[in-house]
Amino acid sequence: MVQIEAALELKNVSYVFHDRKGITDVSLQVRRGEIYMLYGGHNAGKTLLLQVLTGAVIPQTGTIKLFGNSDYLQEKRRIGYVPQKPYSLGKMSVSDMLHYFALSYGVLEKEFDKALDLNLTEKKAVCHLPFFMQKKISIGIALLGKPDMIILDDPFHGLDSQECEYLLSTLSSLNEERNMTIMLTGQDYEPASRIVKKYGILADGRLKVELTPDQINQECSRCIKIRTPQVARAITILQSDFPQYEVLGDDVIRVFCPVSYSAEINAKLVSSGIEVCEIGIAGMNPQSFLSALTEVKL
Amino acid sequence: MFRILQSELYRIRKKPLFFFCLMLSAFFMFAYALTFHYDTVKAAGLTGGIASLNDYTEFLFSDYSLVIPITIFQLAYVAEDYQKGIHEILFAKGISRFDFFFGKLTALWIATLFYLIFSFFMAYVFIMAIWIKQTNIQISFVHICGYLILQVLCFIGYSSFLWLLSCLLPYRNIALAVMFFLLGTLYLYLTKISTALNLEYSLYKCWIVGLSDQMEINLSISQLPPVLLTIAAYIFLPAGAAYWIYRKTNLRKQERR
Repeated sequence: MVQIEAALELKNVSYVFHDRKGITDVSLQVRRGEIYMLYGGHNAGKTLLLQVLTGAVIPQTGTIKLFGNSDYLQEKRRIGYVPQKPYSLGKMSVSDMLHYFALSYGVLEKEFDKALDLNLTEKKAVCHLPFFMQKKISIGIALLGKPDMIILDDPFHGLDSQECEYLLSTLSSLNEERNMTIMLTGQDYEPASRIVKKYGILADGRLKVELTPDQINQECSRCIKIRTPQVARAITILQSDFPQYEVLGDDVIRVFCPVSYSAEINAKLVSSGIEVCEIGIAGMNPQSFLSALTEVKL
Repeated sequence: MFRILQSELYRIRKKPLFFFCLMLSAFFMFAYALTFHYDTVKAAGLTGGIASLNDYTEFLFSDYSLVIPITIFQLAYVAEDYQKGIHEILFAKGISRFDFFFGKLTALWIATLFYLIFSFFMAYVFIMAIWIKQTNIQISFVHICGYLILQVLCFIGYSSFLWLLSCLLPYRNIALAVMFFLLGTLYLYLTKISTALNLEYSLYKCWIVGLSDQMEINLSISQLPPVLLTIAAYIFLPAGAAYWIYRKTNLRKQERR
């Protein structure tokens, strides 16, 4: 069996703040040429995890391997990082910023990636350019030195549909033509789903599950819908074994689990004296499915 | 480290604030030249005042005019990295904290050196323009050069101290407020308070950045060993402490503050 080399491998990586928020025991693997999305809500730990990868935060425990090398600092030149907010340096123009980062990275090419279609003769300060233009410049800087992997923090945030479209096609062509590994974070399933090949679901600082688009589609068409007049009692009985559920109305609960559990759920409810009017398999929207997975139950 | 030094020098060159500080300094030098001329030569003209370039050199460091522009520039410049999250972007590309820290610090030292050379040049151009008709100018190149070199070293030490302050307080406005408070306190301590209390504190002689008028131009060479020792401590201790803090700092943006 041919083993595909992992571009990024995290094992039991943790960084916990004093208020106990942070990331705990995150282990994941991103294969070469893969487009991997870290999906999670606010405070799920996505940005912190990326900051651990970039070196801005030193993990308290765990190991990180980049391109098979456990001394990941050696391989970091092969990474490009695009933060959530585009950045600018004072009143520097596009070409000045490019020159500054090219000098810092020690790369010779003084041009942005052609894929981004940026105007280097623009004299306006970067901070005065439109948001999407600034985003493109941040991506262009990340692509300096032709990295093998690019990490984008919430790349679709604040973009309109046309800009999302442009970004998707750029990322897609980078992945297809140069076999570039792409890791991105976010909580919008819709735009990213067109290119993402694997999802890591982060909630409350923990990686809950990793899913492929096929698995998500499968899961979305497979949840168990229960109609019962005793919703509150049914939840009390089910929530220890099936913590992922959603109450749809006064008498309907949707439980996210393999459909093979439907008989077990039914038996459990009936044996507890709960009237089950209807039990069946139902589907749902992938965005709602992922949101339900990332929801933190207090 | 060399790459960071190169890129930071490029960035400083592209910063309008740096040029603003140079202009501000040039204005202060012009004010110094006029003040010195009127206070010494012109006012004493009837009684035969002496135009002494040595005294003028000493006069350049009699207050904080040279200190203020470089303080504003340096604190604003360093805080921008924290504010914009530039560290993360550079670290993501494999640049180590050591390289970034010392590359940037060296660039700041070079910028300070350039700033001082420019300021001294302007100061002497202004005074010589005013004294163009002066026939007898007292001048001792050895003393002036020795004194200026010591002051340059003091300013480099001061840059290290500002860098330490930036590591402790990575916010431009807070760092500026604290620094000016420190400068004010130091000024009062070295001048008004010490005079009032009649303090004879020997460290005055080798005190920092021309803040003490006890470091006299004629004595600077004879006092060289303790002065150099103090300056060396002043350069390297804050730099070392700043690096220790910087290594331990989590450079997340202000998200959790």
